[in-house]
Amino acid sequence: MLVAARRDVVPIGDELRTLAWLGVMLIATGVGIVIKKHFNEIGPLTIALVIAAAAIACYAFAVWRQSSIRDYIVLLGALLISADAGFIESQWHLLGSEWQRHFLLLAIVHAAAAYYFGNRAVLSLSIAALAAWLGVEMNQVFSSHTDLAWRAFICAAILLAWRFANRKPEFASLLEHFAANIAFWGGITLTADEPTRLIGLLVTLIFAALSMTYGLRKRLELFVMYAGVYGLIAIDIVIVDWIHEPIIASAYLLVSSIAAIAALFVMHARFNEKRVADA
Amino acid sequence: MKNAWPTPEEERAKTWRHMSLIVQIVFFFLTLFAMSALYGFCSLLRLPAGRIILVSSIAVAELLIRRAHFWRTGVESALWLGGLYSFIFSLPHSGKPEAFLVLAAAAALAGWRVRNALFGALAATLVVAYFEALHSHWAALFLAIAIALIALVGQTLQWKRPSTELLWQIIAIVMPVAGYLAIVFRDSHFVTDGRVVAIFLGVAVVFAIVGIRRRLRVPFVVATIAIAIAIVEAHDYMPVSVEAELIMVGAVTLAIAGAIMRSLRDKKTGFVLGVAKQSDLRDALSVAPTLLSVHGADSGTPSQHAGGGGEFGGAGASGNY
Repeated sequence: MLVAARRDVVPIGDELRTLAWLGVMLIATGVGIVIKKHFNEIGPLTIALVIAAAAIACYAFAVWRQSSIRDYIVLLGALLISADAGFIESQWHLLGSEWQRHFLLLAIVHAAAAYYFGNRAVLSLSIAALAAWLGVEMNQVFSSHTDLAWRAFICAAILLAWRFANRKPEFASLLEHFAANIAFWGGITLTADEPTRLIGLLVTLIFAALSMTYGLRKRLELFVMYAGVYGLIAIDIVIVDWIHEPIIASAYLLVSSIAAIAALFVMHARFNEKRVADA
Repeated sequence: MKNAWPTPEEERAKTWRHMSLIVQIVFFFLTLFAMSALYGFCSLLRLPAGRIILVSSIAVAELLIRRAHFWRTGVESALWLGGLYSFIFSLPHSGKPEAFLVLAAAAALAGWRVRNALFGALAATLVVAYFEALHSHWAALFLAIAIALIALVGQTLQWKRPSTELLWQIIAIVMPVAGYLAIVFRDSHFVTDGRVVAIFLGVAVVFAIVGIRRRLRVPFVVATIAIAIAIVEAHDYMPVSVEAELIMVGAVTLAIAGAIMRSLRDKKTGFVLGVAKQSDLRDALSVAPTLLSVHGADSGTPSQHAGGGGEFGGAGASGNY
């Protein structure tokens, strides 16, 4: 053990970026509480106008000034717009019975901002708003217990189409991961529901096969992991439900988990071999 | 003892079987799930589940480490920690605070064997929790700060193994939070204590000075955490409401980060910005805002909207109307 020498170069960019991000989150949380607690004292119109002005100021700053915290100012602007849109709709019901559409509006506005500023965090807000819109809007179209799963599939399909239309390489992985996870949640939801259990299993296994093929082809290990973990959950739900006997079920869960770990290890080894071969 | 651990050179070069952080987390929880299934299976057969899991999991972990060179895969860590904890939890419970020390010893043992910094930090946290359970809140706080200071010294030294460096870093980050939680829960009233504020400001100053003089990154993180704790604790001194405080502190934080980034923009030596790389942290920061709900739709007035809420959510405007 020695006294460490002072380093010549110490990068602290990640720490500063995290600090800036935390600042944005604190402001957004504070604004959320102000809206919730003080709208009677301040007045809804004043709140709506002040937040809108702050959001516009954030975007204007990002457009006109090249700053090292530009990305975080854009994110703050997007979060303020979300807060304001929700507040305005709850107060004045501008969209009437179509109130859910403000999520769609947010999805479009955030997507436009994400592409204009090249901001991944704002893109994730857009995707979440799209999922929220599908989550509430499609309730009226599907009334069965499995409608959540169908809404998830529709959302995943839209994200996949978006992924193919996307021309910004840095956004591709975000769209792919959201699409894969939302599709798998839909599959697991179907599997967990008694009447659609087998269809859910089949759908989840098809998704798992697609995810694994894509992961292997593009050398993206997380997609192989998604396939393994979500596939295992779906198979476990069906088989444990079919077994009934707790002792055999727990023995099965032990064996299936070990098998999944071993299979994922083999996959990982393959990835490593390819990486070494590429190097 | 050959093959029991990778050599420091092997650890640095990552020549043993290892995984990325996300894959490690997946394997860690899959292994814990398998161990839970084994525990359930043994319990249903009225076998001594704790002892069976202790022996089998540690035997398998040792086999994987020594024969297959598993190191940072998530599996061996889960087997060691899960094996020890399932044995401890299978023992008759007395409800005494000393249980924290037993759990701390198990975490320390597992952490030492697989050289896992998080387990080491867990062990230190459980010792602090022991003093908190004894109602020795100030002792818990001072112990946490003493451990953090030892970890600070540890960071100024050069270690052969990266895992030892990481242990000091994680302990230094975790201890101020553990110490504050130990002192803040001493009574049910959340009243500002000037002594606590002063202690954490002092900690922040010490860590910041060492960070600047020794050119270390982690002490800055700890100094920031200590300042944040001091601000939280000083809530009664603030003439403004919590929400105004959040907005002001957030704005100041953002401004400080921006100012430092600007001042480092063209620097090539010493503290520099470095290149923003694609990383797990960056991905997490991109996706995390979707979890934040800051819309006004669930404010005090009853909404005239009919219909259910959205199961999906986020975008700063979740569907939970």
